[in-house]
Amino acid sequence: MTAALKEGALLAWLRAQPSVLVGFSGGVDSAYLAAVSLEALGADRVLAVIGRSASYPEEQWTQARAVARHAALPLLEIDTHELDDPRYAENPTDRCYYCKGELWGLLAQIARERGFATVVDGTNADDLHDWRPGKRAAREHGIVSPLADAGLTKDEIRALSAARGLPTWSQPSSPCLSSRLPYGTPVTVARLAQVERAERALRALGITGDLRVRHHEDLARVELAPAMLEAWLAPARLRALRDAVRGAGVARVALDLRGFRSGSLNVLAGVTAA
Amino acid sequence: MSATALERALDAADRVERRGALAIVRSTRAEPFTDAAHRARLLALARAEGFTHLALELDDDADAAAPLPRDQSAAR
Repeated sequence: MTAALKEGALLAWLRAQPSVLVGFSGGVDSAYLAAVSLEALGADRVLAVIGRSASYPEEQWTQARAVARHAALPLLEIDTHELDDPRYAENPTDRCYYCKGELWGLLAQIARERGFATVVDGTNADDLHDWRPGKRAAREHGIVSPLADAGLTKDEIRALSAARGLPTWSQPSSPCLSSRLPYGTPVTVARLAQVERAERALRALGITGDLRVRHHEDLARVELAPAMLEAWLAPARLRALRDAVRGAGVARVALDLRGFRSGSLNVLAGVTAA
Repeated sequence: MSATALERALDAADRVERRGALAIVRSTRAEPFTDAAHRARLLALARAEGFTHLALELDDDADAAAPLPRDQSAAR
């Protein structure tokens, strides 16, 4: 089935809903879902909700607000407190379950209070093959994933977003900052802030595309998009990269020689295959 | 303990630090790592030794020292 046909099926499903509340991060998937929901139902029957916390990058928050403004999307921002939950803060391999459990619980409650019939998220068809303990929390709270149900992949969502003029179409994926901490390393506000500062400093150097600073206590391991890797291995640039990350308060800096991998720390922990 | 294939493929001055499935190469010279074929070989050797990740850490004085004369570099 072509992407256009899948989008048609998505629109048809959305039009059959009385109203939807969209879990909104401002990323590629949820921005696309919110835009299509708005087209299908109109502004009175769509509400996008951002859950803010220390694990949500500030840059992403700014982008989410800009996307909502651009699309005239009704937006609500709430605070979440996953770091206060020791089951999350201890950083087990199912950490996402506890975060999403709180988030989806809050969104389901808001939907009930405000009369929104269905809560939807931006899970896509590719995500179904990945390690996603948050999916269990979504099921428990009755959250629907219409992009995945329509079979839409990330590449298709990017293409359809470009066709709609959404600024997110080429945006790198930006999962929560806790995904930079190896499992078992406690999630703290200080560590998350350190990662965020380091990534911001690297962006300021001109690094574009996928970028992760993985936090290994005294050492930060930088993953760059493979296309950028060779250029940043040049000695002068590597020193600039090292100094930028050290400026965030990390003693040692290493550059991953394979480059960015989605779910890199899942591989390191043996949760998923290399 | 004898050097592993990964260690033998590196410069003599380089050190490999093991953190579980992560191998960190501490090197004073980044230049050899700009060669994609060299990186691919190192990654393959690391994988064969059970590492899922291989990273390069640059020492403070990396590339600051004068490079070795070409004949010595070739001999290593």
